[in-house]
Amino acid sequence: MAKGTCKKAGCTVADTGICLMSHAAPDKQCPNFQPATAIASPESAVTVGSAAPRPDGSLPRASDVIRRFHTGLELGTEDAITVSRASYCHLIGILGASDAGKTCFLLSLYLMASRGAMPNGYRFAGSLTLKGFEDRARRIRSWKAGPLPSQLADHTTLSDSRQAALLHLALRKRGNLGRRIDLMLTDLPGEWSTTLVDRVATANRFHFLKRADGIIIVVDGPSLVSPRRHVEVQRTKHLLERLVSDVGVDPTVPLTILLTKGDEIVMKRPDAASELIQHSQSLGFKPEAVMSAAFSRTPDAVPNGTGVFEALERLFTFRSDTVLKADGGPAGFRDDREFAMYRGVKP
Amino acid sequence: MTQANSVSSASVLLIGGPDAGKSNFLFRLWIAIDAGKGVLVKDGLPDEVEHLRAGAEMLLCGNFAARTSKEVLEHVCIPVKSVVNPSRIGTLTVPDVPGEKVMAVYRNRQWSAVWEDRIADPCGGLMFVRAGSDEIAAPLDYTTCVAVFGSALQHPTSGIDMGTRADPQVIASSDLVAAGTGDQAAVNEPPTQVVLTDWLQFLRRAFTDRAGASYRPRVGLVVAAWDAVPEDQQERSPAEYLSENFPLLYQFIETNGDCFDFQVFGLSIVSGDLKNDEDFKAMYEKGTPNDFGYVIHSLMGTKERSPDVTIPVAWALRLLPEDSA
Repeated sequence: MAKGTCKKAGCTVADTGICLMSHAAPDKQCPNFQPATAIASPESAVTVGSAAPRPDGSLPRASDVIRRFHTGLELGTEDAITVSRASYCHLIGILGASDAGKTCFLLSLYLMASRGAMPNGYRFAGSLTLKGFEDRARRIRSWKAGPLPSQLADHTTLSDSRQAALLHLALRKRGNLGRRIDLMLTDLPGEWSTTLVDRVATANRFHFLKRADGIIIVVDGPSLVSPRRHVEVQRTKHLLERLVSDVGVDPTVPLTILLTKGDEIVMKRPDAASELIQHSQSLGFKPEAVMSAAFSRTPDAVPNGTGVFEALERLFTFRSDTVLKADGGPAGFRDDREFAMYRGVKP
Repeated sequence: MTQANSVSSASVLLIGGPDAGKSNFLFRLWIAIDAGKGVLVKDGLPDEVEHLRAGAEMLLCGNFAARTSKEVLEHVCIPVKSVVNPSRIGTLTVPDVPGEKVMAVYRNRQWSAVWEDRIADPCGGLMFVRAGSDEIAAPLDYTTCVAVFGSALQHPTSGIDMGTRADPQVIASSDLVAAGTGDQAAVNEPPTQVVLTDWLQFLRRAFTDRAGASYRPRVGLVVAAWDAVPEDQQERSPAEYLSENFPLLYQFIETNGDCFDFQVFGLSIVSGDLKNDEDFKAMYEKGTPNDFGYVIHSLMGTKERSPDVTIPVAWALRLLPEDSA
């Protein structure tokens, strides 16, 4: 169904897709339905009702318009495309099993931004998913019981439960405030990673990662020093193999292996991490392992947020001189869009 | 903005949550405009003056106006002219919108024609936070996040991957109400800085659509009740106050100067507390109300204190002397 709003009081078709007059296809059948015009902007993905010219050719009066803003919860793929038309967006895939710490990673990043505590001079410059970050922090936006989302959402509405989608964060660096860095961070159920390993048929839903600018594989740090470490290593290796072989992730994009809950193992990197690094390298990646403590049990010894920004920063500042020189490519790129074109991905 | 000699219909949006000080500022602004001693003066009486009169009378009698009813929505229209350029005349429209409706726009992610009609060139905005207000919702931090939300809610499925690590002792020692018990609504109140930041993003979107992407609206961040800011912090600038107390909002201001023309003001409409400070109230009642109140600003690059409370509005509408240059 095309997006739009309804003139009829009480109709929630814009949010729910359900027509108050019970039309099966309200965009085609309901006389009260008003198609919306999507407007691209880095600030918001917005629809404006009644944006079409009137029959006499004049523009609609402001009093006819009810403006709808981005939901603030998360962005679907089509929302993200709209945003990325105005500004290059770095798509970062964050994968890992349930309880590995993916949501903790996202929340720790958000809390850093929220408190003005991002390192290296980075400053918060905007987010189309502020409400989504807040709701996750408050555990309001948890995966609902029952079937999890099976695909990345196209759009999200206020009435949706938590969707497999993207969280957005824009940054600017102090001293270089002219350059805005828009990040699109995946928020996916842990089960997706598990089932990708088990069944190649589920690889389709990860195909958006072909365009990824960086990948973070989240691994529970303490599990790598536990009796289950061999299981964890094997599962992670298989996940990496699936990403390259069956999803089509470009192994020249930067890869971070994030070893979480480092405070529980006194920030000592597990030996098993070397196996993961070596395996990643054998697949063509240039990986880096980062120890993290998104929420530390011992904040005096290991500060909250340790490793979180570091894991991310190397992904969006990545300019592989090695790759460029080996390929005979240009010495540098004017911007991220040009870099993406060089990599053969459509920005 | 068009630098024409007339300001035929200029709007200033007053934005802020409940108890942010918007209405009391509006009434104090009217007293100042009426007195004719500031950079913005009246050009005759408004056609409808009841709302302004009632509010101003409260201040003139030594009382703050009560909080605006949740249902009241007044469109205050004041004919004004610029002192520095009296040929610049027009009607200043200021919607007096209760904070609850501002919050509703944030929650529902939409606004009606009431707001849409105001988004035009010329239009400016003043965004209010009131120092010391009980209505300010603090941002989350790591300790609060884990203590209150870490394990208080049960996992609906095994799919969530954050809540297994909260320390029960931390939770037990917290004086905050655990989610799921007691006053959950208060715990889940969105932080004021998040609401206002999203509002700025809404405004940018609307201005881009209606006035063009190149239009850079002036939006002043007003720290109301500046006299209530702790004395040691008053020596610093209102911008520093915002930076310390609303860091997300302040970063947004710092990094979006290409989208907005921002200024930060400290505002005290009467220079003291009429409600809780009897000595001050007695002094106020002996004096002339328009002689009380001040604005802290850095419009010329250095921190200044001015008794002219019309400055934030005049700045937002580009009606200050330097705007005529």
